[in-house]
Amino acid sequence: MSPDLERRLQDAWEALPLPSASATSRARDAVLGRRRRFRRALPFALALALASAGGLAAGRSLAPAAGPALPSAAVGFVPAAGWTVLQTGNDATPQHPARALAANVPIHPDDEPHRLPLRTLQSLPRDGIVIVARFTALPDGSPAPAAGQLPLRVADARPEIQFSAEVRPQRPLGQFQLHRTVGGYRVDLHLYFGSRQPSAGARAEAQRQLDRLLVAGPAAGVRERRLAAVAPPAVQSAVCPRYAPNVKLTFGPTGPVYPGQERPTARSRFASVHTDGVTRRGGHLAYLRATAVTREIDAVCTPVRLRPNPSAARLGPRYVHRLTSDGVGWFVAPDGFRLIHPNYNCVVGGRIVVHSSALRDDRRRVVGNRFSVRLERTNELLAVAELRPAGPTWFRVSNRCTQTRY
Amino acid sequence: MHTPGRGRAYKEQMPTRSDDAVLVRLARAGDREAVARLAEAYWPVAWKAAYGILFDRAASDDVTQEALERALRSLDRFDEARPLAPWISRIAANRALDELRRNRRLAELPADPPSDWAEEASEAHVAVAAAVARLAPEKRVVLVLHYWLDYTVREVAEALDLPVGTVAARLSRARAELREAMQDDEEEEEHVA
Repeated sequence: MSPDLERRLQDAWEALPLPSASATSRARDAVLGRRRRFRRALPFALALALASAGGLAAGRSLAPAAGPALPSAAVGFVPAAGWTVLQTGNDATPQHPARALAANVPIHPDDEPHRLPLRTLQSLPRDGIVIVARFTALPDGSPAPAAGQLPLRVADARPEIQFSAEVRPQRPLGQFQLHRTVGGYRVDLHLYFGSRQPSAGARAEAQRQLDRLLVAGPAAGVRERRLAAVAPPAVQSAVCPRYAPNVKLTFGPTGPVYPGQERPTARSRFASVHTDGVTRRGGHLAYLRATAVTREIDAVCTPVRLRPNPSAARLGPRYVHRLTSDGVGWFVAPDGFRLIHPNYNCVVGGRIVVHSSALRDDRRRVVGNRFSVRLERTNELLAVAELRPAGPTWFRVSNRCTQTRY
Repeated sequence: MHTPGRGRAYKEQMPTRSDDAVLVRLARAGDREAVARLAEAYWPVAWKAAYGILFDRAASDDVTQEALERALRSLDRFDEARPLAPWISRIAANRALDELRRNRRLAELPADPPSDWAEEASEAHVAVAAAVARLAPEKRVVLVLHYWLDYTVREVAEALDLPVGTVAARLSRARAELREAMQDDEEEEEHVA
């Protein structure tokens, strides 16, 4: 190859097209956790984003120390006396990391848990402390940090002053960071002290709040004892969150979008969100219904979230339709659970197999259940936990609907 | 000895290094606006890295999105002494290679050259890029990694899990095919003229 042609080859990079504006916008939203990814690989172009079903994910919960709020995901802070906590309520997936903010000073009203609390930090008094935590379920596609155990220790945090980017250069803060893997989550902690060299008292104060860090991951056994010690009082004083469903069903880049609908069910303690959609692609009809249920008992809300994430791949003349759903939730006093399956519809024929699993923490041990159910089409999937006087339970259900023939 | 065009792939307008440092710092601390700005700034270059390998818009959208999310989640491991664009581009390229291994259609069939080349691109550049697109994927990928994404031959071999000699041979064959294709195009143009 002549040097000239080689240079032309290198310069040909400039000729490549640019990404479309819509893809750029979609990616920006996805990176920010506002929208789920549209999967190109779907022959039926089905993509479903079902988020915030319990109304927790969309909002934030402000919890004064006297009335601690239940973290909407099973991660976050239970505030210590004199501390204030903000939580994003996200579900801690790699797409939606959960964030929590704890401070022993009033949090400035302009500050939110999903971003650096600059206003609070800029006015942080000498004895003020702010802890910013981010939780991401592993694996998240990157190497996990060192394993840690609760309570995480302030003493293990290392100074964090990088890029000369002091938050408050005129009166430098004490900035520390700590990254650990706990209970199946990446936990990234940033600690800010009002003075660059925090006193032993300030460190002890920070440790007191750090002792009330909750991390309840899929490996529920890791924090079993922790939950029993901390979670019940938090549950008892929790305020029922406003039910704010945020559901979208998307068919392809140009297909219709169906908003979710909230429909109270016959049993008054339930509310459910249904999404329905029909699309036609390649002469085949594809239909999907997803349901998320919240369950309310007295003044305490107990969300169950099912997050279907369907995907399908065309394999020659046959189709494999796979629908997965993944739900997590806190229950006030469940003991045992059952799954019922109405209207879980993959219209394109064949048999559906649903694989489910759930974890239950009864204060003594974590119980796991896994099973498969064969369903005829037109069945719907609901997850229901039954009430018994018991401790808070980490419930996780993973369902996979696989259809292999027409 | 060919020296790849260092930095060639990263000419798009992006934040300065000092901007990057601040944005990375804020993003690490959980600032969503910083994350958004980084995502917007580096989306085009990451997308082009994926597209150069896949020549498939939809696949590149997906791959780049995943790569960008992965990169922005992994900022704690980013070496701030280095520029951000090549780091993100390599993550996108690696993810595109994964997609290529996974997707038989993309892995086995030559790509369709796009019809929406960059507006400011010259005809000569478009002709070369189109010829690259028409190469068999196994040859196209080594060419793209080496010439467009500045991988050394050894880095290409590591990325593709191939012996260095195999990569060198594929590069050589790809260049020969490209030269031949370019000559055919030129002859065709002369014939038409």
